[in-house]
Amino acid sequence: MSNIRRRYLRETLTNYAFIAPAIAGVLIFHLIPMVTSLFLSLTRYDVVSSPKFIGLNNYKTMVVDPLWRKSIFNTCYYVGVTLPIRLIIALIAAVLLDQKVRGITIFRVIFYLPSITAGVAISLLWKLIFQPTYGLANSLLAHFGIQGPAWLGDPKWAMPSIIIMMSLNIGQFMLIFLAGLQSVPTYLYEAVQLDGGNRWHQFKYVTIPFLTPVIFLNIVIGIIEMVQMFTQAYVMTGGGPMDATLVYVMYIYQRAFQWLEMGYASSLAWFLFIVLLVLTIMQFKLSGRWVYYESAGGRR
Amino acid sequence: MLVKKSLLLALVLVLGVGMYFTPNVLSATKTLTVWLQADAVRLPGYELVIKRFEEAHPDIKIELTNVPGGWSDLYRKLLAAFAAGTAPDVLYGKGYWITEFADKGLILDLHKYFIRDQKELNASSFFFNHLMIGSSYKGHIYGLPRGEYWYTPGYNVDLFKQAGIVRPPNTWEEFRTVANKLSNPDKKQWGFALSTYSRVDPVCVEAVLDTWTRQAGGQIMSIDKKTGKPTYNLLSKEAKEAFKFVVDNIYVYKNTMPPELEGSWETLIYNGQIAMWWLHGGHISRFRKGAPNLNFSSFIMPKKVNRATYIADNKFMINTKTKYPEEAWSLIKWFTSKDMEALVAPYEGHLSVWKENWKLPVFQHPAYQGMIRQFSLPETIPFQTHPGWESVRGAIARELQKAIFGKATVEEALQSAQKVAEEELQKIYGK
Amino acid sequence: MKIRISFSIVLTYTFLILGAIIFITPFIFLITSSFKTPAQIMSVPFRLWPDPWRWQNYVEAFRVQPFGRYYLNSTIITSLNILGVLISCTLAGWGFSRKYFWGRDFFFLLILSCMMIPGQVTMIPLYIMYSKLGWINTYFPLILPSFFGSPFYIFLIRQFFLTIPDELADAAVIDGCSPFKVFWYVGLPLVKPALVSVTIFTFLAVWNDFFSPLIYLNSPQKYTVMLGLTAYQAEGFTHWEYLMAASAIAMLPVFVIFLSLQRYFVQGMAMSGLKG
Repeated sequence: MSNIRRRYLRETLTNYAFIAPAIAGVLIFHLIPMVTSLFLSLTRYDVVSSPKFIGLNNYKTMVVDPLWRKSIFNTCYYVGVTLPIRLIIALIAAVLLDQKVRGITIFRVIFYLPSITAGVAISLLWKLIFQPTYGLANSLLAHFGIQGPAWLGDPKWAMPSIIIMMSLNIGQFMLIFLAGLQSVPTYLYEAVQLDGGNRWHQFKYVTIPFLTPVIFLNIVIGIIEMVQMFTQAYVMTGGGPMDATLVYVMYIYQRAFQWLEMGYASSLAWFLFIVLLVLTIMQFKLSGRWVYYESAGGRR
Repeated sequence: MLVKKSLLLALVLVLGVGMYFTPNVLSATKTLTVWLQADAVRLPGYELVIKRFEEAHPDIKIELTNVPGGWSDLYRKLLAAFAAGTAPDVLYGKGYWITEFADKGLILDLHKYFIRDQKELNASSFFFNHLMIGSSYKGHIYGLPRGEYWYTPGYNVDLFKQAGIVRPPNTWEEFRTVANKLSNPDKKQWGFALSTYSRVDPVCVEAVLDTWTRQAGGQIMSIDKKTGKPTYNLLSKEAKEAFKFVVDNIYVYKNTMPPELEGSWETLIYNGQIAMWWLHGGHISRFRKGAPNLNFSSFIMPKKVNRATYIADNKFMINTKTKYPEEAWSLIKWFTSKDMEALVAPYEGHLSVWKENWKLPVFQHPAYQGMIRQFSLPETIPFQTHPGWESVRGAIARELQKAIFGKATVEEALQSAQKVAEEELQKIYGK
Repeated sequence: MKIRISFSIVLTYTFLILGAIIFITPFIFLITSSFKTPAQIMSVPFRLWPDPWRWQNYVEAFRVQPFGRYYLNSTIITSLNILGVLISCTLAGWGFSRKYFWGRDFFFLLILSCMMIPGQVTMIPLYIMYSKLGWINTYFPLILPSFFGSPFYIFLIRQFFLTIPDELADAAVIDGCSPFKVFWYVGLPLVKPALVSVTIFTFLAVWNDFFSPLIYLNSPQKYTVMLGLTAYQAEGFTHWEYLMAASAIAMLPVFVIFLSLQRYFVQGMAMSGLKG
């Protein structure tokens, strides 16, 4: 008895030795900061002087802050428009790449290019593309006789510019769709054909249902990732003409590092966290209605 | 074996990394860290001055950091660095930062050094005594000035000639007439362009409201001499008149470049699509390099009630926590001396604060002549700020830009700007 | 039958080529712009082809800013991050893949749930902590966390470790191997594809990272490539020709790594996506 116990204890301790750095990491870099940030959100703190406890004032200020509302609107606008576009383009690309044609690798690489260079470099490139006087976009439009807008300089067009740029960023989604496409059982396609259906029917009644898990996955990942958009807005417009591209994380950054209001920024961050948490939980709960899991016999 | 090898490799890596990061603690020379902000055109000038300083003072080494991104970025980075204790010994920044930094006790009071070395600095020969006023906070001097600047109107000489306009506009009415004459929005030609650009603030309050209000005879901000507390009044008759003038130029008379094209401002000027704009010294050196064929000059502010504009400068300041205050002081004296200003002038472009330097060939460009005449006017006043100035201006700018972008009327924008200004002041001074 | 198949293939190719053109046009614009003079970049009407090809842009871009230094900095930061991730996440992944021990699932779930925390929540306290430690404007905040594990990679590597049958590990123990040796000689070699995937993911994430260098680094000598790119914009004026050249060079390692190792990349993505 005691021998086995001792061995079990030894194994447990060994395993903890393996996972210790990770647990320490979770504590130091995730859990403790998270709790600290909750406390900070109840203070006014500019790093130079010491924090001053002000209770729920930050949250009260937040609710009536017009910039806070604008940043929420901008973020919803951005995610709500860009995510469906990206998913649709990614799905089309995945379907195209799933055909057994030659040179697939080249096309896959090309479709993935905008994603791997995502961030500063490509944002600056598109900043030049959207330059109202001599950029590629307006030059192309001028070719067709269309007078292009001021893109990033125009409050109406600033966010659409970023949306256009991000619409080509489909690599990650595309790969996941591809993996999902490959898991669809082919005999079902034949079954549809036998019933007299065409490719569109195949797609609608076989492919889509089997893709619902990966669609769901992409939506969850997509929302979490896109709600945190920052680099593109910062690099291209700095918050945009008339705060048109002031997305939520951009606003947190401004309040934290430009106005040195760490307390308020912390409350903004916590709001984001709660919203994301609730959203994700809601998505999981709702997924039971529309996501089809083959392995579980159709229902999770 | 493999374990030993990989551990050795890791050790070497860690040592290498450590050595890479460790500062050079072995030398006996004193090192001064300097932060400034310069683009590719200006930087060589500053580097030259520093090289000369190091030659004259072999026991001092200068570590120059050119913080890219613009003045606003430099300001934020300095604040963050002060908070983290990593701020440089010497900093070069906008004159009005002194208020903020001195108020927080971040920069050194230079009074005793200044009194001691007065003769050497020959302070009375600074043409602009008010520049020295701008270097002080609560009666004490906290910085040495170099490179004055402010906006004066610049114009494209060729465009004026082609349109048969003999001399630059003298009054607001003439200004509008000239701008109208030189505008053809369908052909992407505009008589005037507001240079409103700033990375953080959406609109430069000074350029769209403040200066114009002064010219109309009013002022948007006054600072109580005794308490130093500011009051903002954006609802005065003059402020409304001034702002309406600016905004109507954009939307009613369509003689001003639309704000959406802000990003193309310099290109449009180079291409001769803009006839008049607000110019400062830094633009002059940049335009001369970027558009050598551009024939441009400057004139004095068109008059409403007066021809007011502001003058400001950049300042060298010293960190209170510096280890070498004497050396830092000698560095900033060096940098702001007459000869060194003459050295930097072709690179930086700002008018020298030493009147003697105005004879230099670099300042004979016609664009400087209007500037010099402007600064000789009594209405040209030094720029004044108060603690929290930037956040108040930023809040005001946010509201004003709604009218600039045509999303609100002049009255609405001024009303909401007044409201947020008071809220910001409440945050800083209230309670 | 035959005709219909050909038609669908033609359709597929048409769309593929159309899509490829759209996707690759920005990059063609990037490359051609990087060889133009400023006047040509700003010229209206637009001319695609530079004339002449100005190779100096690439040289001058490095002179206007110490871009070579930025490259070195980015390389160091990225390499150390990869090292840190490989060390901490393989150890943790192995530990969590072992036979059940007390607290195993609890801590694993705890680590996974940290993926849900958006970075902004932790970033402010972390910044303050680093500020108090005097680590602002050093590389510690950018490198240290990687040595303490990253939830996603731990999850991914654990997936791979789980596919190793217990018998192999048991056999090694019977042969007298210490637990670490089992990990090193049995576990690691069998998950090489996962390690390559993690390396690629980490490389991409750290090389392209902008936010952390932005808030932690103040001196230009310490800047990373991505941070340096933004510095070609002064207030109101951008040196497009240098910017495009520098961007092309900034993207180069990413291209190279991706092109040569894309097999692992795809595999890694698929594994993580489906099982998750």
